[in-house]
Amino acid sequence: MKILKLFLMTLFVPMVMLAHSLSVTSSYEDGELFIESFFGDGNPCKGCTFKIKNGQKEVFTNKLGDDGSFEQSVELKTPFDVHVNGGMGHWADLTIDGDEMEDKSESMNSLNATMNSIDETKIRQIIRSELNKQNTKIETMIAKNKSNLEKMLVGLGYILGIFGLWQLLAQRLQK
Amino acid sequence: MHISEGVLSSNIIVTSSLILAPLVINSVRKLHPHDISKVALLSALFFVISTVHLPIGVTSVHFMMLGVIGIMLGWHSFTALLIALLLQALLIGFGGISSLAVNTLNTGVGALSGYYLFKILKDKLPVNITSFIVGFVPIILASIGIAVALMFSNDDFLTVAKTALIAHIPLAFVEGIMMVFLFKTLQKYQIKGLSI
Repeated sequence: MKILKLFLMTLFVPMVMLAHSLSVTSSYEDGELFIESFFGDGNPCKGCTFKIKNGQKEVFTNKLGDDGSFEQSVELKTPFDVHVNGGMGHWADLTIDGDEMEDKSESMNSLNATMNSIDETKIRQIIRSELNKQNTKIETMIAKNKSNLEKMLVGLGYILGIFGLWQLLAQRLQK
Repeated sequence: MHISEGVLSSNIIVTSSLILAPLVINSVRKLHPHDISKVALLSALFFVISTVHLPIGVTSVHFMMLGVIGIMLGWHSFTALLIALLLQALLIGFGGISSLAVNTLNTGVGALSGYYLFKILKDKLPVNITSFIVGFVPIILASIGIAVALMFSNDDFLTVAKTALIAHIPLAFVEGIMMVFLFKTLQKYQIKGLSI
């Protein structure tokens, strides 16, 4: 019975551990900057400050809204880094790649062009493209949580390795 | 509890590193090979437990178990915490390399206070009260440490320092209560080598 209790408790530990890992998604299209940040349990990063950096230079800073997002027209030069500070040591970084953005803006331009000669196939393509954007956010969140758990296991491995080697050396020196 | 990278002034970073270095060197030199596994165990405990967060209002704080680390390791707490915090900074992004010394000092001093409080109070007060104090006080001391480090780094951090201090009071109560149950369990089983 005790083993069963322990097993059930350990099932919940990773969920709690990752509840406050911070994730960020961002896009920059046609001068429109969109940032959304949320904790691992889905709660938005309310009022969190964020910075946009070009290399080491800070080019823009502001706060996320109550829904954990920010959307505004900002003149920025790609590529740039988005750094969201969730407070108490929680932060998340994301790099917006210049080439990727050019590709995206090109695809947006082509979308605008197709809107002129709209038909069902094109509408489907547009809807699929929008859904893909939403899916990317979810996939990013899942990937981030997964990698954090992996990193934690790696960390425990390092601790055991470092102290194991230390023990081995100390015992050899004693002999 | 972790102070992030790039937050602290260079004066604070250098001073804290100079204070921490002899403490860690002394601990490493005096650590008996039989105690290495205990240091590893508690380093791993801190590494894992500090990723468990307690939501408080708009922010959250994380567990630390400094009391139990302190009473089991004493001055060796600095070594255990340094390695755990280093790996957290490198792998998970909690804290940072530049703030490593300050974070280690804050948590280490908290753990050390737990060690001495336990030594002084264990024969004078009932076990429930002693264990609560040993869980409660280290968290408060560590949060005072973080607040002082932030205040001395930049005047703009005064509000953050106050928030950090207030946010840790509920955590200190929770850890105090956890320590009461932990002490009872450890006393019941009298695990060899834990000297409780």
